[in-house]
Amino acid sequence: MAAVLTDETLVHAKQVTKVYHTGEVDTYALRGIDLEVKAGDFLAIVGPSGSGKTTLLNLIGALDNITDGTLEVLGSDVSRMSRRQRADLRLHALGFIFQAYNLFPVLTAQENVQFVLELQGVNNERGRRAREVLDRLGLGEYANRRPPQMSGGQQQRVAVARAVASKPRLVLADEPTANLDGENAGILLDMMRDLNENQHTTFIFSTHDPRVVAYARRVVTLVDGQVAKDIVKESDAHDAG
Amino acid sequence: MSFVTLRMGWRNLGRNRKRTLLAIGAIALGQLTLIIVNSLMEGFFQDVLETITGPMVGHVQVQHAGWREERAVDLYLDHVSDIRRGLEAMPEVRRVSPRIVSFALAASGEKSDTPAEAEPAVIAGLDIVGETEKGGMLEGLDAARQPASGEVVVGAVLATRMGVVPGQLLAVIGQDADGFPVSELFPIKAIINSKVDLIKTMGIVMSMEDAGKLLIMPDQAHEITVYGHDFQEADALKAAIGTIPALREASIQTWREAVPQIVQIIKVKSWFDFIFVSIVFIAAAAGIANTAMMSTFERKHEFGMLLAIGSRPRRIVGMVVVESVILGLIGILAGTLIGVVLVLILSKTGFNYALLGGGEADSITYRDITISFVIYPYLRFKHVFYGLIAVTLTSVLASLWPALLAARLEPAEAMHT
Amino acid sequence: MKLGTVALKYAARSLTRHTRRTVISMAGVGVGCAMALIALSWMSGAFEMQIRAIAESGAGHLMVVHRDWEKTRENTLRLTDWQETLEAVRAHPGIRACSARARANGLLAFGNRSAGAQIMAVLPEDEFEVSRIISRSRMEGHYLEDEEIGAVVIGKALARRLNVELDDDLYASLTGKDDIHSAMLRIAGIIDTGSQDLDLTICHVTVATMESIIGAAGAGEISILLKEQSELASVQKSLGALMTGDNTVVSWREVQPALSAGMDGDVALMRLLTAIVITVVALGIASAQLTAVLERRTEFAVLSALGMKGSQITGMVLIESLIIGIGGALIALTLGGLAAWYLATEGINLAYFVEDFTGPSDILLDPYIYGSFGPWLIKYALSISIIATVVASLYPAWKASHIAPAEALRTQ
Repeated sequence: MAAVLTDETLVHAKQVTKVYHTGEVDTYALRGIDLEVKAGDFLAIVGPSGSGKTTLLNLIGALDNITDGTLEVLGSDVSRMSRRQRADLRLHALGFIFQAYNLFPVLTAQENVQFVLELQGVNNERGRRAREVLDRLGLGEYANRRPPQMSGGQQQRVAVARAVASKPRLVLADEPTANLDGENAGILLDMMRDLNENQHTTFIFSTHDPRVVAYARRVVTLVDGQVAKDIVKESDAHDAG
Repeated sequence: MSFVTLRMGWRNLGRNRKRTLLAIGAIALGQLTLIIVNSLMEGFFQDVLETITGPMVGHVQVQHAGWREERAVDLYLDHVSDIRRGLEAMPEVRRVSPRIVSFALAASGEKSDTPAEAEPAVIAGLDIVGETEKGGMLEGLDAARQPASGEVVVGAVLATRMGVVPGQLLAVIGQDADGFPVSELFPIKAIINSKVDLIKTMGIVMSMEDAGKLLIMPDQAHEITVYGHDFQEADALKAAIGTIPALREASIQTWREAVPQIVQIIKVKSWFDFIFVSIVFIAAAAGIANTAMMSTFERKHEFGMLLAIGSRPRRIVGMVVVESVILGLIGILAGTLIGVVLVLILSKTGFNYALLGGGEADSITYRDITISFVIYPYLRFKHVFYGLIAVTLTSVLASLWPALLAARLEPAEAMHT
Repeated sequence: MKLGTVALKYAARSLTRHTRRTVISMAGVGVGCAMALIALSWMSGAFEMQIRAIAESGAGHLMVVHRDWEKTRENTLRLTDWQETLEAVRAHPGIRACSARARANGLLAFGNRSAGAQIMAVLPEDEFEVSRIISRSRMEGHYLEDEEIGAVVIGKALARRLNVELDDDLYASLTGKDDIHSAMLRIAGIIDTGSQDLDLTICHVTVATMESIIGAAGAGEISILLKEQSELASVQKSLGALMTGDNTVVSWREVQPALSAGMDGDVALMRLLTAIVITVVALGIASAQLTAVLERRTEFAVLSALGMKGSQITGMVLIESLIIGIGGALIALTLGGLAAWYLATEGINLAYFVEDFTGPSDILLDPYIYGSFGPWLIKYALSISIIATVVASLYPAWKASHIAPAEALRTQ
């Protein structure tokens, strides 16, 4: 079943520039990015190392500030938001998945998911809802395991569960498959595509893993901090190997 | 230990300024406290020792064998001028101070309607000029206030109790060496505030000659106080004095033997001082060890990398220890600098111990010595040195353990933090 | 800033990730606080011992004196209605013992020996209860008996100075208000306090004797020992209300101002040193915590990414410190408590260091100092440890919430 792209624009980036001033050197991570992401999108941002993929993702995720240009996420101008407002945005509207360190090792899988719900202020039903999410994603057996007792693939899947437990509009994933073998990468990507098609969760990946690119419906290529290509694939591309 | 290791160690400290500063702060505070407390204690002891070996007891005391206990007027040393000459001829002797000491009653000699109240007093016949020198019983008494023949100087507290002032007459009532009552009127030349409590609270000071005339003690004295060049060498001085034939029957004592209780107090106080200081040190050590260990554990990942690229474990351990030692030394330096500055300031202004507690007293009297509450700290190199050794040892030991642990890991294990 | 149960579990369990470090931090705090506890226990024990020594060596916890005495220190001042006042004091429930005295200056002579002395007229039975100098000393002959006239008890060193023995007759000249009076006093007892200096100050007669020599003048002071030292302030107040005429009630502090100042100085110095000890510990903790926070930057970045507020992150780090503080307090209580218990039961025997227990200003000290041990230890251990640790962690906790998430995540 193909996803339905609505007309709602979740991310609107116009001439977004990001410069890092480290000591005496200025690094231009992004130079004037124009990008629009609609609700329901399943998008991969690709490019060589240092092309600015992670930076762009961080900016969209309101984890960092743009240097120039405008960036609107879910209708709000990110550069005008206070730290608190950004935290709120991340809490309620966004979900994150990282390449490495994702889950908190001292909490069980269920507690990891519960944590986010607790942050959101969900009081009575946290445990139940957390368990539900895990079950729905086929992770029920790991509920009481801690990350050190799970494989990398299992951990990433729990991370997805955590990311979507709060029902975010947009999930940002930074190199989610980088540490996974082929089978686990496939399972993970299946899970995420499923969420995209059934829950209408928008996914933006930053990756240089061809498997992810294969699953993506839209591929934005960054080179030296600029958009080099922006290609929407024909439908049914998920059969590609 | 190569230069590179040293440089890496140094640079690593700069990597995280704030953390380094906090650790340095802990060490510096510990060191500066140790310095100040030790200097204050030292200053206090110096003050006490100088007062004892100064006016009160001198370096060596010579007396009639029974006089110390009985204080009888008739237990005196005879032919004092001969003895004095003999002593002054000795190279070890710097100054000789004979004294006559006898209990008496004193009262205002002024005519008045109500009879005067007699106060217990002590007649102190002294070598006036000699005792006005530094370290003497009359230190600070300038020429204008020294009693001439027939005059007396009265201790401040005694004078207040009797209500007398310079220029007035003082009546002195006592017993002479043969046991007969004597009494005399003396004009008061001045009032003196001596560090020797006996003088301050009960002293009627006159020249040896006048005291000898009053108490029928020609060329006699109750005690001869002898000063050498260094009060730490009192034993040698005592031995030398013992060779004088005229003094063979006399009691010759060093200041330590004369006032053993004070020596005891000093010992007790130094013991307590050591405890305080150890307490501060242990706490500082705990703080330093904490820091050293934490910072080393934090860097396991980095060590793993170093091991992976072929660095020897020994070099890593060396680097860590070097860092800790540098940290410690900087802290000591900072603490010492601040400590020395504070000690210098306090040695000019004095540190009022009583004020610290909100009290208002000036001084306290202990066995005849007035010990002032205002302490002037005295810095000894060894105070700084102890801190130096202690901190260095602690830093080295506290960082050694985690470093050894880290160095023994497999690189991959270490990096997988 | 609310932190839910999961967040709390997180904070607590984070400490178990690196158990060794957590234990080291707790040990650091614990040892430092233990030192502080030991110092405090010792200090209050020593302070109490000194007060007791001062009180029982003659000054009493409280003293009834003439209102002018504090300023002039004239020992010829006399109380108003001393007998009634003495009875009123004795009737007060907080009083353990009390005794009235009168002092006069004089000269003692025997043969060709003489010595100045302060002669003290006492009520013998009362004096025995009130003064440890009398009750703890060796006595040749006997102490005075009530109403015994013409007898005197002197210190051994004084007896040696005057070259007298029991039953010898001393010639005493006392200065009264207007005149000098003399009398012969038979030596009924010779006291050996163990200290030459103290001995020299002892020359006791009965009140009746003094009155017979210089006329009826009454008592100049009433020395009071309390049942509980801690009730000093309240008893002073209630006794003060009973005073008539020129009488007033002063405490040992006014009687021995120099000692009081010295003791206060000691306490203040100890407190200062304790504060410094704690600061040093806190600085060490701050450094260690800062290191820990910096090491966990990625973790805090993830928390921030999940939407945790800065204040919540700070709160979590502070909770971790709180736990370390509590752990440190437990260690401090164990170490410090043990030491304080030892101090309180075995005490420190000063006889190791000192042979003669005369303290400054003619006080007879106790040979033992017992530390203080009680529930206060818990309160202090907890508050010192927790406050030091939490305060020390304020900056690191703040830092944790201000880690730029992007940067921390970038360098993964």
